[in-house]
Amino acid sequence: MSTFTLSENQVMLAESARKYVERGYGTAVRAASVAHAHGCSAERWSEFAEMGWLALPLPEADGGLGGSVADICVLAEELGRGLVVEPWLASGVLAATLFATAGTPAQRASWLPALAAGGKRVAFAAWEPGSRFDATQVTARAERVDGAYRLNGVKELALGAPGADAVIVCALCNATGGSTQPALFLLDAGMPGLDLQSYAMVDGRHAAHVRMHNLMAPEGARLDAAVDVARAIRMAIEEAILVQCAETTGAMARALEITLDYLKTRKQFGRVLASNQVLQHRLVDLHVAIEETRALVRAAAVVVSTGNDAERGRYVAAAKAYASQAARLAWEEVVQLHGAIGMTDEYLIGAYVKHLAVSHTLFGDTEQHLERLAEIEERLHRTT
Amino acid sequence: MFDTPEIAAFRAEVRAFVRASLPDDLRAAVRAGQQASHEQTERWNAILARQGWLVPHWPVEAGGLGWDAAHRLAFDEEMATNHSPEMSSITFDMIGPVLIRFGTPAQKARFLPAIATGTQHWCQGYSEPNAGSDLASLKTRAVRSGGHYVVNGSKIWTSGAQYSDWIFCLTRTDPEAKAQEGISFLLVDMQTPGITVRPIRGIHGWEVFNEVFFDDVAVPLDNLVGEENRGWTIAKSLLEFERLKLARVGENKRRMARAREIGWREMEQGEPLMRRPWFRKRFAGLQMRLMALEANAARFLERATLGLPIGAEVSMLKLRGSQLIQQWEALTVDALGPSALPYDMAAVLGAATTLPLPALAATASSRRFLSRGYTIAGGSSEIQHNILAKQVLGL
Repeated sequence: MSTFTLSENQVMLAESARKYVERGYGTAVRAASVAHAHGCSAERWSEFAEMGWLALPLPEADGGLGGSVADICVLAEELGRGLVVEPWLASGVLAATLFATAGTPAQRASWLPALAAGGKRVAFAAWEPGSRFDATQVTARAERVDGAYRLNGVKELALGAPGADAVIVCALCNATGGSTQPALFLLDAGMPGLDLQSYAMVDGRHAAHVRMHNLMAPEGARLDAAVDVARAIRMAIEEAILVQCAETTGAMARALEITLDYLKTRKQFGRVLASNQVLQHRLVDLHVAIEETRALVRAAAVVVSTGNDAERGRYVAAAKAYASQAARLAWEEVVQLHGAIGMTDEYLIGAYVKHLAVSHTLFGDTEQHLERLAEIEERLHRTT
Repeated sequence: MFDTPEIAAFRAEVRAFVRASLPDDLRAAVRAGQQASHEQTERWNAILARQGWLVPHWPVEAGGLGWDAAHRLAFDEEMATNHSPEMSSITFDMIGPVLIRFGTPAQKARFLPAIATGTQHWCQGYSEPNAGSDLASLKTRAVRSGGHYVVNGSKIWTSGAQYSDWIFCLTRTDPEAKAQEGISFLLVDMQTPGITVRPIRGIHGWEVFNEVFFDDVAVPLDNLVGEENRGWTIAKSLLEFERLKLARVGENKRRMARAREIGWREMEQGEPLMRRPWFRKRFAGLQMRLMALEANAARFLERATLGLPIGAEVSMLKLRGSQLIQQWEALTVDALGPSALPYDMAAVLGAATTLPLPALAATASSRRFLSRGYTIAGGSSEIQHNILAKQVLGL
């Protein structure tokens, strides 16, 4: 089986996504989604569902298409080229796959078909203030009270939470012997005690600050208590990281194309800018960074489906560290290579600049993921 | 992780062989960062030849095993990570395959058996004092006179010339033609009267390079490879595997292993460097870049294995692989700090160091200096950038 060469199905997936993005997701359409109160137009979301993009990440047993991480990454790269604002990554991939892993059979039966069809949308409020994108750091509490749970805590930067029908949160639950264990809850958006402060991020994608104050969640809101929650979260976040890296690859590739087009036509000192060797070599370095990102992400996508936990952690950390580094190189370079017009909000490249700047930080930046790589190096050293 | 089960099993076979068969003195020299001596190289070549693994990527009819690129790259990586010295690509990957593809039956019969058994050494006469990256401006003349070419001129940066039996040269046979035309590919016996070799000592202490002077050197017409004035195409005809190999994944892993050894051994403020923020971060950063390089190299290999062209884009492997080697060597020197400063010429050249230095320290600076050549030789990084700009980005 090929690791890097796209399968026939993947080629079809990529082609249909590119066609959609180029014809159906132009500047005006995108601007409307950015301006939308939740950063998610209902029309676009149902189009995503019709294209099968919401079903792709879900297991076939739950009415999904059972796409592999590599399949999902192929789609992500195309959506990244178009700077899709809707929370496909946050809701369609991260939250939906976590729910598919951690939900009880009854919960899955009642929600997943609607998620795949686009009728309902969920989000995962993964991070707490001060955790710096480490979803395993949880201080939110869930106390058992008369057959229900009382939740208190704060989550930051809950991607896709604005306008979601329900939000998944992790909270520490009392267990036997006075210890605590992490538990996941699916909270309906309208629940008393659940407060969402919504906002757009720097690049126009939307998120929310989530506060739970004495929120009373019924027994049925808790996801499957038999599931290893820490592991389920780690796996879902790791896969989402790779999907985000693929999305970043697409955004970088398109930003380079736009820059190349501009430099091949714009004249200074009587000749096109692209004829200057000093600029050519910088464009080459950018191209190589993009190609290496794509190769590493693709390799990592195969590792998360087949490898052991240490290999998996190593590849995800390296892929995100590399993609973040490349994203920063790309956005800083495309501004400089464009010159002043690269600084304007109305010109196309500006949206790529902001998207890549956000992507660099989101889910942890280069420094954080290199530190994870170093931790794995240390762990392997201790065991050998 | 990119291996098929067959390649994984093959790697294990190579690993077991190298561990059992590599002479101890050679392993120790390579582990210490020394250059293998000519005598050591000859001994190792003979062992490999007996195993049939000196030129396994050559076609069977030429004396090889017909390995594909996947086997050959896996072989090279296992050799490097198990302390084999770098093999002479000039002899085994360049002149051998050139003769197989462009040589006359007589040339093949004369040279290939000696190369395949490791008994004949070759060097490459391409660069000249005024023709480096701009190779096509070379001036060494070959003029037909009687039954010979008479060669005059000089070549420089010729690796291993002092140990070579033969040199393959690019010579100008038609001075009126445009730069890349009028160049012929000649095979010259190093014992021919009129050849002088002057070794050049590098900043690293090793005599890796030589200058080779030709003073009315008579070369039989039979030693022309291909057509007269068509030598440029032959010189540019690198094998696919050779282009893939330029990622130097194994050579990078060899250096990562050295940096790791030093990182866990050397202490700073009471803890191993691997726990010091500066070293920890740089090591992880290079590890990340090596993983990206390896994935990218595997992508090109997969393309080649599927029979698809790898194109000019493959230049990015040479560009990145060579840069990364330099980064590892720089990290190694920085990690050794004060221990990297004492210069022990005898230890660089193969003796055990008499100075009170930790392992790898005596050769670390030399290795670092040597590594600067990776981005200059075989098409400098700037040339690789030009190739990618023109042929891939259409600039």
